[in-house]
Amino acid sequence: MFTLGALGFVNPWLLSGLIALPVLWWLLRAIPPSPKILAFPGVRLLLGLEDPERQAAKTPWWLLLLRCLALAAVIIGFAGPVLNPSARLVPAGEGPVLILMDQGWASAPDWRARKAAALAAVDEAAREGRQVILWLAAEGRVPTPVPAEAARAALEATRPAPWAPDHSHVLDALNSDTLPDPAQTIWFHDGLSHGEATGQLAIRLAGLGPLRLVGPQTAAKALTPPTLDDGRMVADVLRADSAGAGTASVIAFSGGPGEPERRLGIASVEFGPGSDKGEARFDLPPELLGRVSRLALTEGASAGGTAMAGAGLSPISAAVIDPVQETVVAALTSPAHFLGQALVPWANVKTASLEQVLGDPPGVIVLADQGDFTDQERAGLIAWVEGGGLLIRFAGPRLAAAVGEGGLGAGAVAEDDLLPVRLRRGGRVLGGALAWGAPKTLGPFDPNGPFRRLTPPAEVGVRTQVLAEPSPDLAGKVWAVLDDGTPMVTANKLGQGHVVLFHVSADSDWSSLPLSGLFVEMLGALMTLAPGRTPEPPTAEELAGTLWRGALMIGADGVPVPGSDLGEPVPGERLAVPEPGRDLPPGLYRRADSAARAVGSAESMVVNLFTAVDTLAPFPPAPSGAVVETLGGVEARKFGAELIALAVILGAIDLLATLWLSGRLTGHLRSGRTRAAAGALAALALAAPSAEAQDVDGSRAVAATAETTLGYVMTGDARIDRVSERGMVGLGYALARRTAVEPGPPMGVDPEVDELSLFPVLYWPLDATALPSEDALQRLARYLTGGGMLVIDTQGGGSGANRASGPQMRQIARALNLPPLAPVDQDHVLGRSFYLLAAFPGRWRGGSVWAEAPPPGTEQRVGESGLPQFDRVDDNVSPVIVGSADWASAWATDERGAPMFPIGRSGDNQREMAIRFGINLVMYALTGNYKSDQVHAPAVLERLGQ
Amino acid sequence: MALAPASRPPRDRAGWLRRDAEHISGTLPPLLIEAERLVTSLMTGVHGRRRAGMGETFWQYRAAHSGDPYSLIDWRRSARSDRLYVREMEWEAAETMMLWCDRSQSMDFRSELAPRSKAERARLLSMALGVLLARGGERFGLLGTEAEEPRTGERQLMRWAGLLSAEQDTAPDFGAPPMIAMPRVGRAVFISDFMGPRDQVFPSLLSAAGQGIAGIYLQILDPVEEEFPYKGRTRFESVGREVRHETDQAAALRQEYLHRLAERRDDLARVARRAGWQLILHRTDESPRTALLALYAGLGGG
Repeated sequence: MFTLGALGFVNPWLLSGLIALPVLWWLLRAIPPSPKILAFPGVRLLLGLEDPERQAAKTPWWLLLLRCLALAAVIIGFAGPVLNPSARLVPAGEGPVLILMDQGWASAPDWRARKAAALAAVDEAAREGRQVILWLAAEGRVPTPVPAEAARAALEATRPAPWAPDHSHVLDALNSDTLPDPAQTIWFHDGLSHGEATGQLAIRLAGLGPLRLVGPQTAAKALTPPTLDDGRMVADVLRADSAGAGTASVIAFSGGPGEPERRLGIASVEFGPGSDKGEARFDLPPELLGRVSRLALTEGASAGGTAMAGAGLSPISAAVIDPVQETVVAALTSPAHFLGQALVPWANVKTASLEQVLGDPPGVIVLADQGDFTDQERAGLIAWVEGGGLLIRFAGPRLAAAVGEGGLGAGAVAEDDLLPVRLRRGGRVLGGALAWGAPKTLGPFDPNGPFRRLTPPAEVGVRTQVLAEPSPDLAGKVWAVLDDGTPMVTANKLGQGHVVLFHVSADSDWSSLPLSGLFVEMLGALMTLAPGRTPEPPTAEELAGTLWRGALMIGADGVPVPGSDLGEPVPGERLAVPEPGRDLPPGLYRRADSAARAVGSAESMVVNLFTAVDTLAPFPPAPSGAVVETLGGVEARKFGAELIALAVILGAIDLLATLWLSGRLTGHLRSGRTRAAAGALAALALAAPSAEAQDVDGSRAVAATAETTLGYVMTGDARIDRVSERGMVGLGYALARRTAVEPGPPMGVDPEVDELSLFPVLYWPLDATALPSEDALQRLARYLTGGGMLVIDTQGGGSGANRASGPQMRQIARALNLPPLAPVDQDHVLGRSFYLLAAFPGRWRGGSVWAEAPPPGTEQRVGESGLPQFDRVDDNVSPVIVGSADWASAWATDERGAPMFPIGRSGDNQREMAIRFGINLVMYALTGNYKSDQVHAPAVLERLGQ
Repeated sequence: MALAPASRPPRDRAGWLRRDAEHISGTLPPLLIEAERLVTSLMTGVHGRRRAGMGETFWQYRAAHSGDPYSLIDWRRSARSDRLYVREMEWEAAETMMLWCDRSQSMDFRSELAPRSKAERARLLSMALGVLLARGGERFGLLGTEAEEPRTGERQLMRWAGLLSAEQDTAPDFGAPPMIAMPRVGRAVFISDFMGPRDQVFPSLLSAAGQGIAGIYLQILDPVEEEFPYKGRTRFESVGREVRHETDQAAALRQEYLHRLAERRDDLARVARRAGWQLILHRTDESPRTALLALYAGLGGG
């Protein structure tokens, strides 16, 4: 088959017909379209007349193009184009077909498509009666030619392996020449280069015969084991192609052997352009960090895309050193007890002396009130911290005393490496019997420090502390402060490790911190700083003679499966520098021998396919002569028929165009019937909406004006519109019962279509999602100019984005050309047009109601009694009332007259107030400023005074 | 060029009768009826000669001469005076009218805009004129056919009808009036579209006009021939397909065509005016009555 990229042709020789296209072009240009022939008696008068121009004699270029396209479509269509042509064996050749499958971890994400493609190839071989050599590169066996049916059965049962395909093994077997030469080779590779052998193998296979390389669209990504970096879990996602940017995401799981898996977190990864590595950072709480069992890529899950968390994430070993040897009775209040209890969730705690600890140093050493050290201890500790240890120190009487002595940072003499800051001689005592001040509480934690996740509780009080000597570099070292800013926890990075100092004691003598839950949390947060968090992986010498057995193996699809107890145990030497493969599948291994364990030796080890230093290499360039195909989701698609259909359509267009060119089409169109039909069609298309839009007005206008009708603006949201309608019904009911206004049934108005001037007042629930169109806003603006009143309700209550003074409201105000608005004060007529009201609640309380600002110079005057004077003369009726209290919900009643929505607390009169506001509103709209007449002021004052 | 005669009816009487009968039962009555309906609006009659003579209409009284028979004396008039009077009648005599109806193929054309073809209209007007003439007792003949000799009466009318509605086997593409000797008196009417070649149409028109009798050219045209509403690439052919003209943009030729048409009409009118003839224009989408009225008035009947 002739292929052009992903395009193949069944009958490529037909494409030679495309050469004829230029000839056709020339021919078509030469022959003009035939004229229409008309009988015309007056033809004699025409004799001898010349056409003013002769260009129409040539076929126009676009018609030519159309015809050439049609012909090209026919030619290409019959040539049988196939997009993504399926596996087709070379018809020639009689020998067996070698199907080499990279059946390793990177094949797992698209294994289904891979297998289907391989099965198709096997089926084709079966049809041609050829034998098949099915070589599974990860299996490590040298296959023999078998009938295609047998190969099919074997292929059906094949699953991807959780390790890399062994190309060097294949290469060696090929070179050993035990195999009959295949007539053809199809290599379903995984898009990755597994060592140098991959490229050599490709060249070798190309030398054997026709070679087809079927690769994935994108190669699988891999994941390195997670490590800790500054308290965060970090893993690298590796990719083979470093071109372009990209993203991936990684999930962290918890759960061990026999436990269900849980997702702990997800991190997204960005690949920079040109980078083959992306970093996934998990910012997990420390107690979750310790439980992470594995990471996995969300897309294209495979064994390589899964990394088991090693011992690096398992609980830390910490040593608590309390120099004070307490009696048993006092043990429950000793610093060692507090520290031990607080560290239990985070670490394996042991209590030892400093000498013991330095002999076999753990990840974390907690020193409770250690005064001075011996030189040997000091040197050992410093070396240990610089090597990555985490030293946590607590203050106490001994430390405070040691500050006073010469050796420990006294004055400005020398700086102690084992203290993060220099300390002042003598601490301070707060809130004691002889002190003035109250115990200090904790201030906010350093947002960059390890305590950034914690919030300081108010009940922790610090009575005594050691003070840090002020110095310029103090700021970066303080992780926690008291509420007056004095450092409470300071830290310093020393080499690879950290030295942390709590300026209080580890027992409850100096502060209540050890009694609080915060103490546990703070220690847990500090544990994330423990570097490595575990001893070095055991060396080969240590592992010699040990036996290990897989407890939890990573499946090819990245999902852990429990290991079998019956398998051959793995000698420990091989785990020292693990090379995962067929005989060492990745997973979690447990010690399986019964030999005596050394103290602190590892009980379990993790073998991952990739380590932090590994990279992925893309598949080498295909050797010359090899056919490269992409294994894609796209199936082979023949589209010859579509092309021929296109040619037919083009032909029809050509026909019409030719008719039109020769004037015959226009002649027909001119005939009355056709035009009438076209007109009728057009009319049908246009008539429906316009008829709908226009027939309403008559009856509606009569209904709206027969009685006072409350209108509401329909938003298009059925729920809001229903509430508005019921609100208007409820308000109308209240008006009819209490006032002389007896409104008719309310009407919904579409401001774009309906006549607005029929309504004295329009209620407009402003929906943020459905802003009215420009046209509607213009019509509303005209309604306001013509004396209408618009009640805009943003329905959001006093707060939130929907409040009446929000930016959206401002935008609408601009569009409606509203006058300046001001909050309705007590002096406004709205507060006394029927009822005397001080607040205007709806479904929500609070939030001000806005109306047109009073003219400048008419400030509200408040009398000596604190009461408004009501003497502002304001002849204008505000065209707009803006609020956010969702009045319609307060007014709304259902069909039986019962309120639709609960409002306020029971027994509250908020609904009554809302209804009163509604009545005032309608009265204001109907009577204007009548009630602001001076005549009523004394009576109003009198009533207000009661 | 002489008009090729229509298929000649056989000379023998039986064949004539039979053919006549066929015509009467065939196309003849509709044509006749239509023609008669057309002429009902026109009053006709034998033309007075504006002089005393044989007739039925009173002309004048004159004093009786000697030699006048007594029977001529109008006693009632004479009784009112002392002299004898003779009552004279106007001399009334039939006119001779020769008609030529173009039966060429170019007449056999009808566009979508017209209800009838030009030939049909020409036939109808000819027949209507014949009916009028027959009622008026005039003598009339159809030029170029065997009914060429002017006669009067219903019989001649029937012969006309037969000739006019006869099928034609061969007809020229364009027609021209025959160049033959006309009677010395009478009128002539030529009905045609006058679209034939100039050197055929005009000589015969001039020869007819030169024979000293008065007459009328009636030019019948189809509306499309006057308006030329064509567009696009077109090949125009004459009805007989003898003449053709091809164009790419028919619309562009319109002005030129109309100009030429007007020119030909001017020529026709000039020829007519020089010989004292009249040119009447008629379009097939107009009512035939207007053309008939004009014809009738032109012939002096009005």
